[in-house]
Amino acid sequence: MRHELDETRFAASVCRLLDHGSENIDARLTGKLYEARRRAVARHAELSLATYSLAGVGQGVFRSMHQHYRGILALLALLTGAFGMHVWQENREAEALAEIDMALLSDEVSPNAYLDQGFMAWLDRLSQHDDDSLPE
Amino acid sequence: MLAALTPAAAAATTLVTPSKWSDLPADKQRILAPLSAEWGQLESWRKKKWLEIADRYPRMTPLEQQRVQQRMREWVRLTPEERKAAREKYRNLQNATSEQRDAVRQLWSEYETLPDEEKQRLRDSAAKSPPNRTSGPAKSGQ
Repeated sequence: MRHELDETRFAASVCRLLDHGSENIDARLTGKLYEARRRAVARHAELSLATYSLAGVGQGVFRSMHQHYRGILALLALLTGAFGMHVWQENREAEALAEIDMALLSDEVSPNAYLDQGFMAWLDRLSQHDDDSLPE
Repeated sequence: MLAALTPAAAAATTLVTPSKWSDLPADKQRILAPLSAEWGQLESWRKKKWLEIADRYPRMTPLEQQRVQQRMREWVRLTPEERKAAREKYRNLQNATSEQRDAVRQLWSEYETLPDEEKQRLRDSAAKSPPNRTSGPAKSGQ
């Protein structure tokens, strides 16, 4: 108990000495300390500002690039889709033509028959004798 | 986005149409041999059509295959209008009765046996007379 009281008195004495010392610091030293503190605070503010600015620029660039690539991807998808539809349509037409051309080319009647005006005239002449017996 | 890409992906499987004759598989080259000279000048969709015909070719009878081989080159050299006209008349004939179709086949085989002078006389008279219901586009020769 007595030991604790001694420690308390000793700590109070140290505080008094320190307070007395700080109140009596030389004015030049106080000025230097003030200037150093001011510089440190200013430096800290600059660093913070620079860090925030870089982060902002980075975020802006990222956002811009993200939107840019999204636009390109959407355009690519649109073009690919349109091209795919074109190819699909072309394939369908090719299949339809293949069907009729194959039948036409393999038929007993040559394709030339349908283009030969002499044959058509002959058909006409014969069909006049037997009207409606031949297809129009 | 994926939905938009799906038809493109499906189409991509049939997208690769060989543009060069040398790129065709050997079996297709054999079937389409009469077109070897013209193949490079054919449009993409026409190449696809002929490749489709080549796919179906093995299922044809030998007589039909022979006819296709004989008529292929001449067919590809027709103008688009001539091919269109021939297809239309062929379709019309398919809508006719089987008796009418048989009659046309019979008459064509008879017409082919006519002397060239007689055929030419018929063509000349057709060219002079006004268009009638069965006249085709101006095309001479067989």
